[in-house]
Amino acid sequence: MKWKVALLSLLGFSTVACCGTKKATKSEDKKSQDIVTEEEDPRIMLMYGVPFPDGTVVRPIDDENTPNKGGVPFPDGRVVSPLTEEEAAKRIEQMEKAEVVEETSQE
Amino acid sequence: MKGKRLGLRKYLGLKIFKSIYDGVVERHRLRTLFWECTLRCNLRCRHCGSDCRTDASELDMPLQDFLDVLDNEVTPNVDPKEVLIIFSGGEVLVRKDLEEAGREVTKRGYMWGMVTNGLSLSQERLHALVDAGLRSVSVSFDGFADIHNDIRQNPDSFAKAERAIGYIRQVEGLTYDVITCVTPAIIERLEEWKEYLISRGISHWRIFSIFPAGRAKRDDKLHLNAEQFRSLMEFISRTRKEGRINLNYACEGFLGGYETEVRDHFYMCNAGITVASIRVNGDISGCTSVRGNYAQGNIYRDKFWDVWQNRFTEYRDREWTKCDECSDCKVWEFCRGGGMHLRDDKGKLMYCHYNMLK
Repeated sequence: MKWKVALLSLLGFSTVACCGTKKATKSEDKKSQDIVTEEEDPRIMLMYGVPFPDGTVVRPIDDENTPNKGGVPFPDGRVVSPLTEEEAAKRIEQMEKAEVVEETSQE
Repeated sequence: MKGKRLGLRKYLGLKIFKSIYDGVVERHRLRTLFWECTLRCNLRCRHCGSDCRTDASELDMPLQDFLDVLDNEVTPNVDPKEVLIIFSGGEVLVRKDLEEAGREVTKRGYMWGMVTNGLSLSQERLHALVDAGLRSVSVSFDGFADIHNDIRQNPDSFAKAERAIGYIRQVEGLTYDVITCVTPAIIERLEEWKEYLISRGISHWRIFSIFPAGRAKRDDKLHLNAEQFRSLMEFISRTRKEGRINLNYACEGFLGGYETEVRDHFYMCNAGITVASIRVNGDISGCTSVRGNYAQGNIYRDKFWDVWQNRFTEYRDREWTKCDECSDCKVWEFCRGGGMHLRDDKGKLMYCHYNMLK
C-alpha cells in the first residue's frame, strides 16, 4: 500500500483520504507524546455525517466521574468546556483588537 | 460551460486509488455508526430526504435498545475510539434523553456527534451536550434568511440556526461545520453567501445538492440543472483554491474532472464498507441517506455484528450496478455505480453526477 500512496503523492494528490496518518499518542508513563503512524482506512465527509473530531480521543469515563461540571477530559488532561458569556465576550474583544492591529500594520 | 475532462494525471491517480479502495472494501472496518434515534422533526423541510414529520408514525428507538447493540455486538469487536457514532434523525434535539445517550456512548469510549437544524438549540442545551461528550456537530444552513426559511418552511429557522452556530463557535475544541443544500435559489448568490459565512467566522462548510428522494423528489424547483451543477463545481473548486474557508462537496457521486478539486479525497461510497446505520425501526443499513430498501437485517431479529461481517454484499460488491446507463460507462471502475443512496428500491440509478457534468 505504501508505494501506492507514494505514487499518488508523486502525482500531486493529497493522501489524506487513503493512507496512514500520524497520531499523537500518550506513552506508557503519560509524560511524553509519541508520534506513531497508523494505517487507517479513509474517513470521508459523509452527506448526513459530521466532521471527524480533530485529533481528540475520548477517554471512557466512570459512572462516578461523569464530567458534568468540567466537561469531558481529553487524554492529555485538557478539558473541552463551553465558554461563559463573559469569556466569549473577552475573546471576541481580543480578536477584534488583534484584527485592528493587523490592519494598522498593513497600512 | 462544458464539463471538465478527466486528464491523464487524474486517470492514473484514480487507477491507483481504486486498488487502495479494494483493500478498504475487503477489510470493511466499521468506522462510523449512525444511530437514527428519531424520525420526529420540528421542521418540515421541502428537501427532506427522510420525509420526516412532526408526528412521525415510527416511534423513537429506546436508548437501551441501541446501547444493547453497542455492548453486546459492537464494542467487543471494535476499538471504540476508532468508531464515530453519529446521532441522526429527524431532528435529534427533539429527544429529551439525548444527553443521557451521549453520556452512555462517551462512557463506553466512543466519540459522538450530531446533525441538527439548530432550531431548538439553546446555549444551556449545548453546554449539557458538551458535558455529555459531544465532539462534533453539523448545522444545516441553506442560504440567506429568505431562502433558508422558505426551504425550512419556518420564518424563524434562519435566525435560530445562526444563533445556534454562534453558540457552537464559542465552545472551545468542539468540531463543527455548516451544511448548505444548494438549490437554484442560492446558486446565483453563492459568492455572497460564502462572504457572509466567512464574515461570521465560520471555518468549515459543506455543500450538497438535492437528489430525488423523500420529499425532494416531488419538488422540481429544488433541483439544479446541468449548467447550475457545473457552476457549483466551479465555485467549490475556486473557493478551495482561495483557502479562506474549508469547503467540501459531500460524498454524493463521482465527478469526473472535478475529482479531488471539490473534495479532500477521491470519490468513494463508504456505505456498508466503513459506515453502518441503525435505523429507527431497528433496521441495519449503510448510511442513513440510503432510503431505498437496502436493509441487511434488523437489531430485533439479527446479531448486528454477524450482519456487518457476513451480509452487506450489495454494498461491497457493486457489480450489480453495472446495468442501464452504467452498463457501458467508461468510468464505472472509479464510480462503481454511484452512491448507494442514489439507487431506488429496484436498483435503478436515480441521478448521475458524472452525466450531469458531461
